[in-house]
Amino acid sequence: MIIDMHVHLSKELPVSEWLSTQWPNTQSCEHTAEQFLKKMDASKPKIDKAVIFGFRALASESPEAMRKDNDYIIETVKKYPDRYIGASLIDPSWGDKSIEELKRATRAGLRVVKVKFTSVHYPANCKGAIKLFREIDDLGILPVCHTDWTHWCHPSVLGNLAERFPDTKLVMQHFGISQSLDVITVAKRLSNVYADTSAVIHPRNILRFLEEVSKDRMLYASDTIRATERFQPQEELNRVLCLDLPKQIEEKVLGLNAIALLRSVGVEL
Amino acid sequence: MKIDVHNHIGYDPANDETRSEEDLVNEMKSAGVDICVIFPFPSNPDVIEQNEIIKRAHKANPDKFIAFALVNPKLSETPELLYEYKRQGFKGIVTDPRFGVDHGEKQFHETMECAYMLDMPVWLHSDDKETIMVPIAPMEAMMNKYPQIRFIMSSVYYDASGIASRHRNVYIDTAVFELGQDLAKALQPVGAHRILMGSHTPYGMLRREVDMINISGELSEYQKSLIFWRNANKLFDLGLV
Repeated sequence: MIIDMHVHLSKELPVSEWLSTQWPNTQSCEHTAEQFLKKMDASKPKIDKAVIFGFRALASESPEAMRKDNDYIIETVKKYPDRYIGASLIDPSWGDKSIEELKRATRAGLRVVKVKFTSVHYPANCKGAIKLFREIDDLGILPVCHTDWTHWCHPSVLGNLAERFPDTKLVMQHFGISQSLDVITVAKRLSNVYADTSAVIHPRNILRFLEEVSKDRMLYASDTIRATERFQPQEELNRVLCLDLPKQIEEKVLGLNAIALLRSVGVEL
Repeated sequence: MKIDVHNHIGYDPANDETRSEEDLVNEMKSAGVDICVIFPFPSNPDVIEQNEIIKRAHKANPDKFIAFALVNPKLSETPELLYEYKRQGFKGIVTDPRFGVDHGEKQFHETMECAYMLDMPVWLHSDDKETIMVPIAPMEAMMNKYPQIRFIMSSVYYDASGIASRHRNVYIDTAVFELGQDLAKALQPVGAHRILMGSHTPYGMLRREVDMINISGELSEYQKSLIFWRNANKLFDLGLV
């Protein structure tokens, strides 16, 4: 079974033709459940399931906007329970309102939560982030967090957060992008840290992670965001396939690790 | 006379810190600063509520504070809010990349057009070194497109002096010049007439900013007065003599 651990969906309407042709760099964020299903089915090999979350609420203009994003995910999971695993998207900067939304989404069945601290310029170990993670820890759900080279989401900063909550497993999305070696350093020390393969700069570092850290904590992910991204999720899938991993290890990275991780937080598969 | 253009009041949810107007007034007294530009912490997305705090602080201290309103261009009601803020006595607006609206996006340009109509200076704020992630080309294109708008740019922006040297409608603050000599480096390309004292309190210190300008050997007394207050006086049309 192949599970894509990182897909953004949005039912936002496409931008007008005038805007898309006359305003430089305007991009439509539209990416519906149906559009991605086609991509999953067209992938070689076929992708069976995907963990999905919203996009606009990475930095939301209101708590209602965040709720709207999550509502679409809740509806989608109800509609396609065999293909999609839902995750809430929480903008931590709304404080108590963010926590309310997290609880609401969890009650609605979303056992995974996506947080991107870079989007709201929060260091991942600031007080506001810790407050949110205290709730995540209490709820026993799975946080999946963007990583990059900034002081907001550098692997060492997220590692500091993960270290405060040893019972909560945390997925470092993008494997640090250019900072994969730092993810390896952190994950060696912290057994609750996982990594996903999306957007990683040097795929060989995936091998290094598997050899030096663990074969059970690396997860395939595509980070597909827009319907117009023609080569996703196939390109990210190829990034794993090109490593020519032993069959047993490849199966773990492409799906078995995700199944074990998701089941550990109560996702029914 | 000393005017500082970079001060936050309200609640910062990232650091769980509340800063009151009294805290700032006390710091102003001890540092010998007469007037401060105040605006909310951009880490707080509830811009409407936080701008209310600024309004109340300004109303209570009209001679000490100049109010700027924090603006999220994503909010559809932004133009109406700006007209209301102008009516309430706000002098300018503040934007920040944390709202996720690029300087080249349509929403951002609409906000600039509104600021132009209301003759409100625009603070391109950032207190974060990761503004290196903000693409410079759309920012400069926007500055070019609206030459009548006066922009104050946080000196934390990557190559802030270089950008200011290419756009005569851009002022920079002193908030992140780590050393006095960094401030002096902006003198030739930008000019002392477009540098404003900005301390970034409560994370920076008024006292430190005053000292940095005072001890600079490269600044003449007149240039110091420009940075301390004359530039702000002209920019905000305060009528001080």
